[in-house]
Amino acid sequence: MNSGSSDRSPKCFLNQNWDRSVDHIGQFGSALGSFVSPQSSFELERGLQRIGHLGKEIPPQSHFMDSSGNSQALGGLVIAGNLALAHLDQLPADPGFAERAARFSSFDGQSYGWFSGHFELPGSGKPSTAAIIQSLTASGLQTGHSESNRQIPVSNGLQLKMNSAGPAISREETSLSDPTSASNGKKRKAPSKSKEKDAASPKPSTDPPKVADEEDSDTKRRRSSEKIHEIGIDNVKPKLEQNDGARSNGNDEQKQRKERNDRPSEPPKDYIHVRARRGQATDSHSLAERVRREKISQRMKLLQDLVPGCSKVTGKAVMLDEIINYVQSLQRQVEFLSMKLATVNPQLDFDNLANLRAEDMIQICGPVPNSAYSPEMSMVSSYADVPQHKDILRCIATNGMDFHCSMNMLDSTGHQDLNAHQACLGGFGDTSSQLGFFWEDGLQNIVQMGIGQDQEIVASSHNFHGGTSPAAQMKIEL
Amino acid sequence: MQVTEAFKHAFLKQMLLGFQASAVSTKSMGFQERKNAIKLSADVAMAVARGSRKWTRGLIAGLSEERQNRSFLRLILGEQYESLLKPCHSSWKIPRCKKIVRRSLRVCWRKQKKNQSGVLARTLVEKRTQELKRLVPGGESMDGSSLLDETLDYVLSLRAQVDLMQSLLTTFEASKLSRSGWRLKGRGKAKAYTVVAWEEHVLWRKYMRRR
Repeated sequence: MNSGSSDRSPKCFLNQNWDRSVDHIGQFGSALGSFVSPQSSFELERGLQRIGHLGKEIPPQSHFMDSSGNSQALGGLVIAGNLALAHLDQLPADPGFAERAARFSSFDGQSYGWFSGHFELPGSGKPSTAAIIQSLTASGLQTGHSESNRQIPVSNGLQLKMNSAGPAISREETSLSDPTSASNGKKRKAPSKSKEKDAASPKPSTDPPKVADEEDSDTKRRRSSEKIHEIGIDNVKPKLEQNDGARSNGNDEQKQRKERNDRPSEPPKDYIHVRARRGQATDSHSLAERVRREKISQRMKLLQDLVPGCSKVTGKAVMLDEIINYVQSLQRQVEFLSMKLATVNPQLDFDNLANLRAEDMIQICGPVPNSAYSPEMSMVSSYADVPQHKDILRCIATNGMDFHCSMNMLDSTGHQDLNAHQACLGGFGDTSSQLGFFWEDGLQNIVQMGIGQDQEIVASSHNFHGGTSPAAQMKIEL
Repeated sequence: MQVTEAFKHAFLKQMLLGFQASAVSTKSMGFQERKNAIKLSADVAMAVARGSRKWTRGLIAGLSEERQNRSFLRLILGEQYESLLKPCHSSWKIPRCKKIVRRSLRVCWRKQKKNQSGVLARTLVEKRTQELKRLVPGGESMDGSSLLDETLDYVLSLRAQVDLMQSLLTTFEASKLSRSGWRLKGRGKAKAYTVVAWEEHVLWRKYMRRR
């Protein structure tokens, strides 16, 4: 990459004097000119290389350079990206190209994984362009754009050009300018208030790995997409005062996402800005540790809701113990069920089943109430929702859908094939290690199935009472 | 992650396709073989339905380590198989700058000198995170918070897998019973069902005792 950019030194952005804003724009213009007619994807790649390099050049100066330079740089990135987009539509959708573009952003392996996951989508032009824009945003964001304070009118004018592009693109491109505006406003309003991890910003070269360690690729993704959201507002009103609206939006989203209600002035930046609490250490290490600990406790809370019987448990070690037990029991259950399916299997004709289900699946759109549904059946199925289904597949699908619902399915049309006379059961409330509960459930379901078939065959509703008593007896026997 | 209906549909479909592909019902396989094939296709279906996550990639990487699974995996995944294996994130350790690690260790040491009480708790937690890393596929290369994230996801998917397999099983058994033509009525029928349930129960007990 370095050699490539040095070859084109007159056009490349290795200009160290960022203060010369006009020069800058001129250089951008020339670079953009080269963009206007890419002869091949390789041309475009080189252009993107340059942009990537540009992005990398900014960090060492971010802390010290003029704010205007940064915003222009970003504006240029935006424009370049936009024009690149406009031409990408003409280029053949090339997932490899998109991958290479993604590589130019200085992400580590984690988010790279996300990108490659993105590429697994059915290849169309749009996802790859989206990925490129995201990567450009990311690279732009990772450069110290946080330092830029103002959106100068020039870059606004340049941004207006972007609006001429396609609607799908314009949203994303407008979003690119938002991080600058949002962070601009934040920086302006509270430059001295928030205790920032400024240890990070002067040394951005070493910090990206650290930052990447701290943040998930998830949060980064969300942040960049959130910034994309914010920018849309700002682009409509190119005035600087409109930063307030964008900023407050960003604030709210930030708050909700990060659940840090005690830090109201948290700017949406790459680095997590943490305010030291009253009476606590303000060491950067302790701040980082606190952030990490809070993340972990957040996730432990989520897991607590998931794992049954963990509401009373407090403390990491015990929680982890419970989680481990739960995961082990689930894995054992899977093995056991596969063993059982192995015994059932040879007696069934799987190929036909699979074909049937493929057809059924297409028709499925949620539970469909059966017209022959009798009020008695509602009493028999003692669990909450009782959707009626005519097909096995719907049964299975909705079974899987609702953990707490058990269904009785009657097929009163009397098909003689496999699908007929099926009482579909399932929906265990708690598929965990509580075996006793598991078995009571299973028995109930089997019995209800029996009742269902009984009613079906006899075809009279007054058998209902005859049906329930075995159920009651069954329970007593247990 | 939310367990949506679409996810379950995709899961089920993949599972059935997997059963078909491994020809579980037609070939004359031994019991163990069949069980392994079913489990394999269920796991692959879960990974495919979930999409690209760290644990899914780790799971597929782990499955492909056995030679016999590779042809099946290649069949099911197609071209995605190669691309999934290449990045090899599961075998990476998170690259950490040595300086930063050393510095943070020094700070931790200074703090530890002050309070020795937390050491025991920390080692317990450490042990358990190690074990969790072993359980969750691809967990070796994750750090604390992402490990918990992936565990959450994995637990949800496992639950969905168990539920789906359970409902599959019950419908198969129901169809089996109806096909074999039970002529009993009323209580007799209920009794027949209890027999089936009891057999299941015995099997389960046996299985659990083995563990």
